[in-house]
Amino acid sequence: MPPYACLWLPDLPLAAALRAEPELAGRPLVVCDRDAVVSGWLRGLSLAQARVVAPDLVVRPVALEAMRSAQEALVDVALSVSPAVEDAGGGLAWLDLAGTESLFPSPAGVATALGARLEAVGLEAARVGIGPTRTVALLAARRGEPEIVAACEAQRFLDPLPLDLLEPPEELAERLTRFGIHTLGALRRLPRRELGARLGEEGVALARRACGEDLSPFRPAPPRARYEEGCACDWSVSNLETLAFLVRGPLERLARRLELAGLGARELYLELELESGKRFARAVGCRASTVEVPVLVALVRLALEQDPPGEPVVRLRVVATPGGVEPSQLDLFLPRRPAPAELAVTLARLAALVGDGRVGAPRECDSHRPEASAVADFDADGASGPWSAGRAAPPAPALALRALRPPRAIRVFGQDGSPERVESHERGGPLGHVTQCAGPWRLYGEWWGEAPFARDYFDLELEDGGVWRIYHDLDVGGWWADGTYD
Amino acid sequence: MHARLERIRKIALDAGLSGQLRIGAFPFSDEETQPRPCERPRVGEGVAPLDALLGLGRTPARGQLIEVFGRTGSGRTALCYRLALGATLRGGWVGWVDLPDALDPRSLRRAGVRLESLLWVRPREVPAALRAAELLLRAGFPFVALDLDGASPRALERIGAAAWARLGRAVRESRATAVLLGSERRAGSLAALALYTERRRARFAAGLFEGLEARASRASRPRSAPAPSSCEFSLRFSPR
Repeated sequence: MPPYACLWLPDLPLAAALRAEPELAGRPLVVCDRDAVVSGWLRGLSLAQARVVAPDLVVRPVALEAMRSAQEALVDVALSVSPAVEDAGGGLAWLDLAGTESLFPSPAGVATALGARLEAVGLEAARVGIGPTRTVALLAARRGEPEIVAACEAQRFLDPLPLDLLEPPEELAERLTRFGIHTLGALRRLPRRELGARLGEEGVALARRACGEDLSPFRPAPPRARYEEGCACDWSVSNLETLAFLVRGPLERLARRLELAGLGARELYLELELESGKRFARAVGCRASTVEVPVLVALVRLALEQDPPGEPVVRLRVVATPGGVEPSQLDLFLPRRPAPAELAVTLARLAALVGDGRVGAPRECDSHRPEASAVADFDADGASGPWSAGRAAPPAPALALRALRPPRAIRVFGQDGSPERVESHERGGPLGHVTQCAGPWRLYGEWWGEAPFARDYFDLELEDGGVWRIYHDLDVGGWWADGTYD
Repeated sequence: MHARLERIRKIALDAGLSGQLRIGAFPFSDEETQPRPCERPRVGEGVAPLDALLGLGRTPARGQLIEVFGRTGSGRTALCYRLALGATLRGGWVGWVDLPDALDPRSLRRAGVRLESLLWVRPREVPAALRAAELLLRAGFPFVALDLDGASPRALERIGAAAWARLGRAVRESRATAVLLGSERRAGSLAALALYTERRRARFAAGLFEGLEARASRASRPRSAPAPSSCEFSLRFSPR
């Protein structure tokens, strides 16, 4: 197999604009910076001239973020085929195909896979070339036909190609044209010494490239630590619904890129540029790595609902920290349970509904205070636990305490420290004569910490039948009810 | 006897030992060694009839709403913990929507429920509680408890019948088991099983609170397998 493949985006600004807005495909589109036409359907015309020719022309400004994302997506496609990829920038990436034979037995298989994956990430305009050197692969991509050049056919492929395919500097191209050199073959046949004497180092380098030589070593790109996508709003967005709709596009593109790498988004970082020029950033955690776009949109939306930006938004950027996607294995013998991604959304929705810190798994605290409890994060792995159905016999029914949070202040009447009547003016507190009483049970502790306590606890049955747990705070001197038995 | 007990308790209290000791009566006479009335076996009393009434140990009926209602101190919370225990013993997750913020992790642990398998949600308002229960059901939790005890009647009336119907539909569609806990019956005919709990007596013996005796009765026509219509059960107090 030829050792190199090349991915080439012919017009990066245009491809980036089409990737961000796929619905523009097929319409006359111009991507320009201010008044100067940079690229597009009507290359070389001013914007006014272009509008005369095509009244339904769509004009988009050059978006550097979109171009960067498109370039990263190109590299991601390359990385999905080979781990050795050179990011040349400007809509160009090379792959070292050495060692991929077990995955792709033929170069045609590589080209097909790359084409399909480019389409999946919205880069249909990108071209694929495969050749024995990076230069040949690039020329194959630019030429388009054939896209695969074997080492033995390289010379025959290169010779008839026009010189423009190598994109020589304008001055050098003019001089070569004056010499009557129009093809790579003609340039290759020129003697190197004389060529160097007349055209200098640049001319020799061009001649070497015309022979298919690579002028620089292969520089592999480092592994990607984060994935980034963004978009600019056509107008200031102050509505959360519209913002959630806008964020879907970047999240979809992110999800496709992550899917290519077999990864999911573990954490999202949302950065919004506000109308006043300020930046609003929000981290959105996912309980499990996921590439499901509805889940990611829901998480971002809930995060924005909880903490809205407060000003109209003009630009947004989403950065995903990747994580491995762990497939969840269903169990035939266990009750069904939410999938990890669904659990993440449910927890986020519940947190948005009832507030942070009010959703989680109950936890006993390492404390001597009877009322001490806490809420821990609900961990799907910990929640699954060992399966004991059919093996463990249920214990005998135990009395439950219904906690009163916070404890209700009460007034206690009695003799010799024994309660005879309890009164509470707070809702849900005890009220009435005591019919039976147990206690006191003195509890004191945490004298080694900052909040020591000393209490006498009583269990009381009141005339209405309720059984309450009350205590006398020996430090403060008041009486409190902190639970009822049920 | 009680005077002697009080003296011992006072000594322990003065010595600061009552945190470690719970002092009660030891049977000194033949009369006191006789089994107390609460310990005598009765028909329809004990763990097995209670579990039969709750449907514990059977394959759980899918998509049904169980309503447990009664006054405070009638053992309804303990029954709900028992139902949650059944779900966790089968390896399922439990969603617990706790409007009054009354869930006690120690009591749950004593009831045998795996705390790690329980998702505790503490809404502040009734509509949020219903919405949270619906979210848990739609997410795929096989058992969801909704504790609405202490909610003001006005707030409960304000949510209207449509909210209950929506909850009932969520239970049916998710094929989960939902338990509604409160002081009055709210779900009406939406509940496949309605259990009314009433307190029989609180057991205080020799200065110790030993537990509650209660009765659970079926308040609705059974739709599934035949089960006892009522049973008495005792809930034992455990300080640890």
